[in-house]
Amino acid sequence: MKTQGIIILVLIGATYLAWVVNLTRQGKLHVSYAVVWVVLILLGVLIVIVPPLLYLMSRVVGTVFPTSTLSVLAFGVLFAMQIYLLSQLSILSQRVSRIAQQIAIDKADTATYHE
Amino acid sequence: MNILIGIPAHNEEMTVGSVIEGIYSMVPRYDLAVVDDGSTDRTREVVCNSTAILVPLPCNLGYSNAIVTLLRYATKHHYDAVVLIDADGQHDPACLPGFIAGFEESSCDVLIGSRYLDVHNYPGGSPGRRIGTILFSWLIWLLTGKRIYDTTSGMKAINKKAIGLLLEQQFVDFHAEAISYLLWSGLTVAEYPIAVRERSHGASMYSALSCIGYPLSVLLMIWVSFIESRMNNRGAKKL
Repeated sequence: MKTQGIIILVLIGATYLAWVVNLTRQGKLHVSYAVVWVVLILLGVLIVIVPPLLYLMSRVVGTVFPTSTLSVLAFGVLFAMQIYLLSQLSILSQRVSRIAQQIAIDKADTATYHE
Repeated sequence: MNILIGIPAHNEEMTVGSVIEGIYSMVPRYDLAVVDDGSTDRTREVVCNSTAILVPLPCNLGYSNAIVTLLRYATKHHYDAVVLIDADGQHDPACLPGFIAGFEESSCDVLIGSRYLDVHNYPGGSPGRRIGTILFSWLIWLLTGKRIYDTTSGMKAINKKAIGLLLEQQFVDFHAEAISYLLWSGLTVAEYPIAVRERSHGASMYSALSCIGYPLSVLLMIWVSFIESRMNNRGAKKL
């Protein structure tokens, strides 16, 4: 990869890192998710700035070009993140349902009691 | 037997009142609870004006969550069993005395009100639903060895043991996937012939799009239920 590409990718990584840290500071991103993103960003930057690592990954993944390796890794990571986030969404959805059910049952009991 | 009759209702203002009246006229000695699943019409008002217990969900959670709410309500109040009946008026409350008596006399854990044990009872229904029901009936037969003809019936009697099991697992709409789970868990499920009328008001909860999504969801949940019941059975054996 050319130096120009490495600089751009490192800058993108730094921007994402600052964004994630800022969102966490403001309480808009939960620390457990922030940790996942910080680790992923740092790993991404490490692969980009250490070329032998990228070549080694290319050999392992079986891609011809190092940039293709980055695409394959990015696709894999994003796919995994989608499943993880949908799982978190489902957990939250179940919690909301459980709370709503409890509210409904409590309301029914209160109404019956007052009658 | 201390039985709770439960009705999950969503936007059924035109029919829920007559269903409640019908139930009270046929089986007045049982408690009746209506879960209003976040209706945007006058369903809640109609139930409030009756003597039924209103369990008002603050937002629309869907059919299965309305059923879960009823099961949780029954568990909290120590009912021995829950009898579910639809709010759209398709189930004739005149069937209830026989249905409940059949459930009390039998030793089964779940009794399903079946429109297909006597096919002449059912005046219509979409071909898609009929085909789907037949396919899921065959699937349950193949997987569990038990033939259940009406896998999508909303009329069910469920005892305490089955309620406990159903609350442990998530289900699509408590149809084929729940029946398989109960059978694999060693519970007994039986059918009782009932009369089913055509829906007079409102729309079915199944849209054209759900004709694709629903069977796939049920198939996935049958698979999940199989794994879950095997794991539960293995855990029980170890204990």
